[in-house]
Amino acid sequence: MKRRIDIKHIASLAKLSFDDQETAILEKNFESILDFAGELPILVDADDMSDVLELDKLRDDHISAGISVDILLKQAPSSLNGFISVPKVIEN
Amino acid sequence: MDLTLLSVIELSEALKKHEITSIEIAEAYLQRIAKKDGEIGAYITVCNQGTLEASKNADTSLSDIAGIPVAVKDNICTKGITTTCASKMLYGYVPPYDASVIEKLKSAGSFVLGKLNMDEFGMGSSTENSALKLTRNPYDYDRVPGGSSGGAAAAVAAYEAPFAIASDTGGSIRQPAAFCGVVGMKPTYGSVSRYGLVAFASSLDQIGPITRTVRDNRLIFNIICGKDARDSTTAESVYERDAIDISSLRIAVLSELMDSASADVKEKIIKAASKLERLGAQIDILSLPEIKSALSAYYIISSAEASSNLARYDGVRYGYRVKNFDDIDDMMIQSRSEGFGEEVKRRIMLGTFALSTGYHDAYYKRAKHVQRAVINAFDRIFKSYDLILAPTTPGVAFRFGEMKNDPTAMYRQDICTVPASIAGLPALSLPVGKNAAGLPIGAQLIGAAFSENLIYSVAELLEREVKYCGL
Repeated sequence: MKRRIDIKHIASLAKLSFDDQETAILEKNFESILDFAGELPILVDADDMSDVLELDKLRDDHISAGISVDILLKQAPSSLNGFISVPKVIEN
Repeated sequence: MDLTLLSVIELSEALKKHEITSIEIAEAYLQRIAKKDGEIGAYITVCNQGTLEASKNADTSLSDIAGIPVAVKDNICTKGITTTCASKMLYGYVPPYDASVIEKLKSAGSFVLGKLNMDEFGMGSSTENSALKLTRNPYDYDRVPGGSSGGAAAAVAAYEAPFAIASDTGGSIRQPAAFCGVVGMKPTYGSVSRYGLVAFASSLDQIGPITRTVRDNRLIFNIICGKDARDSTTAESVYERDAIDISSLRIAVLSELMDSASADVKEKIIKAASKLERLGAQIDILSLPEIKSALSAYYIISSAEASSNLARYDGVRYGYRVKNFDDIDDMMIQSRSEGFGEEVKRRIMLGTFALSTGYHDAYYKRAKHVQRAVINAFDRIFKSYDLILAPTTPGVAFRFGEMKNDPTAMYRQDICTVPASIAGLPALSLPVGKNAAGLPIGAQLIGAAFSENLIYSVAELLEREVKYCGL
């Protein structure tokens, strides 16, 4: 069965954009990667999947000092009056 | 005496006897880096001043690594020192905190010598995917050092660092260690805290040491392992079986992994097996058909997790943001498209696809089933065997550009290392010889969960037998 991969759709989900040349390369890549990775056998019952890696341990919720706002804001590409600034999100 | 030629343990002994000082070690390494790194290109950042200052204040009584500097892969956060993941996306990012492993090393009296080159965000097997620079294999400058921890393995092999701390998701510590003739350990998932490690595939990522000797590796591992409240996947582990009786050991050699290896690699692994056999171990060749699908499952699972983990790079809170954009969506899309390199975008795309409606069950879910089958298969083997011996890589270090046109050719480089990764098992690579061209070959010892002590003990025996000679 020939898979039809919609690169533009996946790119929009991933918040990436590609020009026509990059899209063509990705289409080719996807074909060979899915040939390589796509033929996975079904090996065990789904019931057995509950504990693949046991990630159910949670620590107690203690309040402790975090990193100061000033230091964190220094990492932001743009900030204003103690806030991270971004382009307008909501339309008028 | 050239201090860079000494192992960590030798440095520590000399420090304790007051034969040398921490300042002399720091100066020796900084000089070595200044002289050599122009050719090798292992470092993204060298902490000249910080290293000298820390060495002056070093309290050499703190531990066996006190006063000895560490080089760190550039995806592990170091407070006040740029951490780039070798990506344009994080170029210039200065973490406001130390990773837990860095805290542990610092409280043991070590200090950061510099940050090491890698494949961008850990995605690659040659370090060619670094957006910042090229790292050469110290054994042959026309060849790759392996990856993604290529800078770490090259720095340790070329005596530009006494030891390094790196990360391994599908082989990123072991494969470059094999290519550069050094010792690399990927510990059991959960034995070393990942707090402060920039996430690639969280259920597979693990931090471990790269060293020139097995004893050094064990020393560093014992300092960095243990439970950490800031990483809920860490375990308070019990590492048993320190002393071993080699004559009671049963070691399995997996035919599927042997078949994937080139003749020169295979020859050295067989030699290593017969050395262990001569020491009294029982060696059996076993088949584990499940691991044939491990590589495919690995690329689906790791890319799926990467697509989720790397969603945080949106140009809003930190990292790269484009200058001109129409609206917030355009800002995110453009920042991500310009900030990430080709391979990172390819994996985000693959992961997004594998998790998307209509494909999730056929790819991601099925890959998780394969993962479960591989875990079960290893469990079965470790009921009757103590360790698995395997090649670390299918071949020796390849030439730059050799895998450029087909991403799956590069992915296949990880065939021997991903089985232990997707099963969360500890696996160590140590050099067991060189091929006719003088390129290093690594053997891998894979153990049951939390069997690091056993792995180290057998690796020490093997190291003594092999008498590998570095650069």
